[in-house]
Amino acid sequence: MGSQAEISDEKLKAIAEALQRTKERQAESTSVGHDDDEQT
Amino acid sequence: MQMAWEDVVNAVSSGVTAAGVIVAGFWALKRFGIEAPQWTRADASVKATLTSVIDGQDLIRVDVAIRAIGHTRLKVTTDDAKAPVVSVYPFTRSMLDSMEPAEWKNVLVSQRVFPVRQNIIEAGETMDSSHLIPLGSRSDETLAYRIEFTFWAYDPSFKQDFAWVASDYVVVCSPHADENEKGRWVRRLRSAMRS
Repeated sequence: MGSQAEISDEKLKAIAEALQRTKERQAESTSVGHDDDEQT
Repeated sequence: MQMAWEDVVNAVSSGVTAAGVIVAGFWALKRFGIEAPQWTRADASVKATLTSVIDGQDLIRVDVAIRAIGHTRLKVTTDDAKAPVVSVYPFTRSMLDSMEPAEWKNVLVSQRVFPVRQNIIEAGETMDSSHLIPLGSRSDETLAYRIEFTFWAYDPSFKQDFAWVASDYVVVCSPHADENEKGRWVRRLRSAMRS
């Protein structure tokens, strides 16, 4: 069970950077898929 | 004598009115001051399990839920900076001695959860979602994962966003540890989590 919490700017920044890395991984996998489609 | 009776009736009437005002005042204080039904209230929960290890990579299943437990609808913030997110942190062998950090900041993976356009939860209702999150190759130092589910909701009473956090742990063991060493780690880890 969760609760209301204060989140520091430093932690927010770390989460934002991790989210950005996830987005980049998703974009890479999508672009690889497109390349495969183009080759076939 | 008739005047005296009128005075008594008036006094009783005034007394009843005053008592009613006092009772109504206490009720209003309790209802709107202490219970504050207009405030945004929520219950966040997360449950994580290690689903499998594929090609040396850990894959965890994460079930998240938000319940609007107040009297008002819950408006979950969906801006990129404050979107509902699951973050995974490694619990490392060094933490057996140093204990958990005061604030977990060493994020391994973060993933946004819930559809972008789904952000209103009516009072008493629950919004939930399940996700599979690949964590990559596990370090030999990693003994467990801490999973945090964080979301923000806008509270119109205070005209600002508030954050809620729920957490869970998944205990894992190094694939390179022999059975004796693995058992020792698990015992120390459980001891650290109990204390």
